[in-house]
Amino acid sequence: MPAVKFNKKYLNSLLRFKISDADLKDRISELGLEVEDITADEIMIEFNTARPDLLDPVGLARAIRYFLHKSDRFHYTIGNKKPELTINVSKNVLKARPCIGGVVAKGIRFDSVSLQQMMVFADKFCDTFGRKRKKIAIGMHDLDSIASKELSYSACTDERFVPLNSKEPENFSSILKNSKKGIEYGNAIEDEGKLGYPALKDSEGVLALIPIINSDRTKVTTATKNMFVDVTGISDYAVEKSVDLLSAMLMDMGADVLPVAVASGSKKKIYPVMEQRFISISPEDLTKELGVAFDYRGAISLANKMGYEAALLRGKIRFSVPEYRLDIINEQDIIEDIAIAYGYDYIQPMELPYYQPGSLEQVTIRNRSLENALIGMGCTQVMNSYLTNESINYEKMNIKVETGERVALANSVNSSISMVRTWLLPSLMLNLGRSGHAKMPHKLFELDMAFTVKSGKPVEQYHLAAAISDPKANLNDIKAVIEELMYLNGVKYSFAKYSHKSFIEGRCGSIKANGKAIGFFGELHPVVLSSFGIEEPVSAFEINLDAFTSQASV
Amino acid sequence: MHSYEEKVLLVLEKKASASLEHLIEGTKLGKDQVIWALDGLRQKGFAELHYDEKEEAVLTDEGKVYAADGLPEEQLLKRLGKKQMHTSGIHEKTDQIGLQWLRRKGLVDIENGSIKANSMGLAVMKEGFPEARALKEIAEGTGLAKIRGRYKGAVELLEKRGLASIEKSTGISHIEITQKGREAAHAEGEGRNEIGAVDRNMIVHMGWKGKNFSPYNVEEPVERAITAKMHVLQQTIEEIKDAYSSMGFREISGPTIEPSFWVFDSLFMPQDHPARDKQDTFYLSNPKEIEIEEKGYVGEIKAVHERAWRHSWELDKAKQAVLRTHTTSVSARFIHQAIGKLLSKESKERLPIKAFSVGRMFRNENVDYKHLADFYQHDGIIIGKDLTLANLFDTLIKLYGRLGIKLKFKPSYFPFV
Repeated sequence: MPAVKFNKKYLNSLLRFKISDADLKDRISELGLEVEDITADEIMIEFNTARPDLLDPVGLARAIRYFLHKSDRFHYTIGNKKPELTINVSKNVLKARPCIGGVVAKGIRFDSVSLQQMMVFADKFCDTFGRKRKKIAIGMHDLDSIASKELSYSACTDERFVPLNSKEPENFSSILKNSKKGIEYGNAIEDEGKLGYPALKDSEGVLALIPIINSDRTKVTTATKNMFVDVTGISDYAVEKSVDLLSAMLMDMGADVLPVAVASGSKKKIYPVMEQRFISISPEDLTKELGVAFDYRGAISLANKMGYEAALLRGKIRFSVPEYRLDIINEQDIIEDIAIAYGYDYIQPMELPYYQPGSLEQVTIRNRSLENALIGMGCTQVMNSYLTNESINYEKMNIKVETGERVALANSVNSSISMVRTWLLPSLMLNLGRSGHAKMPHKLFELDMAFTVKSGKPVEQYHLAAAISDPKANLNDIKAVIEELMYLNGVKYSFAKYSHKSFIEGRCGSIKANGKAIGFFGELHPVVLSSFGIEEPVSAFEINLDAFTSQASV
Repeated sequence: MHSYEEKVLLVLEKKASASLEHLIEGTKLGKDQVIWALDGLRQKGFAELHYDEKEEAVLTDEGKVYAADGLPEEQLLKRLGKKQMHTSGIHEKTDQIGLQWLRRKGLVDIENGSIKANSMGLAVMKEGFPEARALKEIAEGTGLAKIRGRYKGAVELLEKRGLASIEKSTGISHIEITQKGREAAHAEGEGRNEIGAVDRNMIVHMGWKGKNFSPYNVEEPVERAITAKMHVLQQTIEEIKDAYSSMGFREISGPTIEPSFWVFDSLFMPQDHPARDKQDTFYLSNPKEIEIEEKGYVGEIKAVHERAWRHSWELDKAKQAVLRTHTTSVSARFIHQAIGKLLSKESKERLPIKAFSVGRMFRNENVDYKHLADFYQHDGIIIGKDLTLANLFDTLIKLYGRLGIKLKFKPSYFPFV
């Protein structure tokens, strides 16, 4: 989630009461936002909430005023005013970007700060909740520069218009290809214009290439008195709620908000919708969920703190969901708000009324016992990333890349990460290569997972690998560790000759438990050592623990 | 006094005058150690060193090799034994030299290129070459005079062959103890009865009785030992597991590689949520998709998504294989299974259920010194009736209390809680 910068003076003017920085910070934090910094002019907020209505100073000031019981205007209605504009949606745009809504605000008074904050809000909103404008995009226009009361929204051919902050007309296709916004948001247009370019027009021509950029002709400035805002997207509900949110915001800014009609085929819809929604919860249910005793008066007061109008109705509290709240899905969301209003600090922790024995998984118990055994034998545990690349997992180990058997990543942003490791020894080789300066002998082990793909399905297994590096170390030192491990776990084992390219031919063996191969050991080939920058001989083993455990009798 | 010096002094005290060899024999120390001790004794004025001109045999590089491996003719003769060998089989330089000397010494007969040891050769095979023995003794540091006495002409022969040279040097002829040294030896007093390293024999047979243990230097630092350790991250993981299990939670685990369904969809994360973006999540190219076995559950999840998020839910997106971005997928699977068990009459599963998992999860991020693309998370879950937020707070405070961490709660937002 983004960090946003609010102008402090602007926020204070919207609050309409005096508040110290410290108090302001506390109130914002109690609402569930993180204040990163307050300076003389700005408040930096780490935005981590489902509530886009708090993403600008207007909405935040509204929420703080409710929180401190300084406001009881709970409803944002528009009444029976006549639509100021009509948008005619043509059929050909329904595949490209079907949904549009809008609202008109008259008598708005922007200064440079309030205008800039609204622009920032629109951008952040479209980036996050609007999924980089794919789901929601907002366009703001100077109403007085729009030539007609009837607008059209359609999928157009590659037309020309003068985009925002530009003097020269430009083609849609060129804007998509060459402009910053075009490159950033171009993929919000289905099939890059093959279904036509969605555009909003008045009688004089293009108002906006949607959802990329508006025309310069209807640019909003501090001189703008009357404004038209369009909202487009791919979900009717999201468009509707976004228009509601914007309308509430414009009303709070003192504008006279007027509806916009959208005609699509035979259907006509008036925006903003401002639908009244009610959710009822009994005070007992609140108590049951939160562990705090509520009477209905207390609950209603807490509801008011969060901007809900609430009333007792047939034994339940009926919460009226504010029109600008996009995030309320069901009663759980309201219960959460009540907890926030009550204050997490005031909720008394309550012990669970029951106790039962806990337990660890067998695999944890097994791993602990093996780890203890290896540490007892003087091996230090290492833990490495599961993520690796073909060079480390295969090539540096002197073996061929097995593309079919490895779990491969499709979209790593990291050039050194392309697959999930299939075994642990390469990780230990990396560790040894980096610790040449440390006192010898180096005795390392790792007990963790390795991954392969078998018949199209991922296979996750625990492995155990250990390596000894020392000028005097030889194969018997590592064999001694294996023998002790087998003995400790009551495994009947034997060694057999084995050939593995990572090891010196003739100095490598397989480990069999009850005749079943569970791993291998050997002296690493100098080619492998050199590729990891290791300068002393290394002997090592790796076993598949799941195979090992199935043979263990202890 | 150093223990070497003490040993040398005690031997010297008995003999009044001794050669270097005597001291080596008497002290059971090495030559270098004795010379080092003598230097110390001389500086302290406990011993007087007398020198004379001395001849010493020194091996050349080639000589050193043969001292270890045997003379070339010795090696070849050994290989030959009673068999026959053809001259065409002689390739190695050493073998060529060996053959030359065997011929020169008349130990082999050669007929039509076939080499065979004669009676003299067979005798030498048994007795060995005197030069070879002399060579070994030079290497072992036996005095030149002794070697010359034992193997007549051998040293000269080695010199001719360029395997050894005679070097004249000034060496210690004998060592005398001084009066001061005698006093020091007495002052050590119980020196003769002092015990250095304790051995098994001494313990079993009580050989230490009536003797003193010589003191060790306890102030001098020595090199640190190497500790084998558990990884600190593993320690933390085990602490967390113990904290959970001691609070009545049972450990659970689940796949690291999952279809998106268990990581996102079953946790109510809408299919267009930014956290599912390619930038944050590792998607896989092998395998690309993983089948979701719980077909009925898929239907339920689809219905919930379409109702709440008001957009169509695609099975293909749910099948996409990912490295889990959190361990809550383990909890999601567990809740689903637990509910199945609770509804089944055969199962012994009863409410309340407390479970936890600790595991690795992945974020598609750039790796640097403070960010890894894989790290650990733990998940706790309680399924029961009438559970409250106050119960959750209490559980978290106790869990973290066991790990020594104090908590403060703040409202925040997470898509699936």
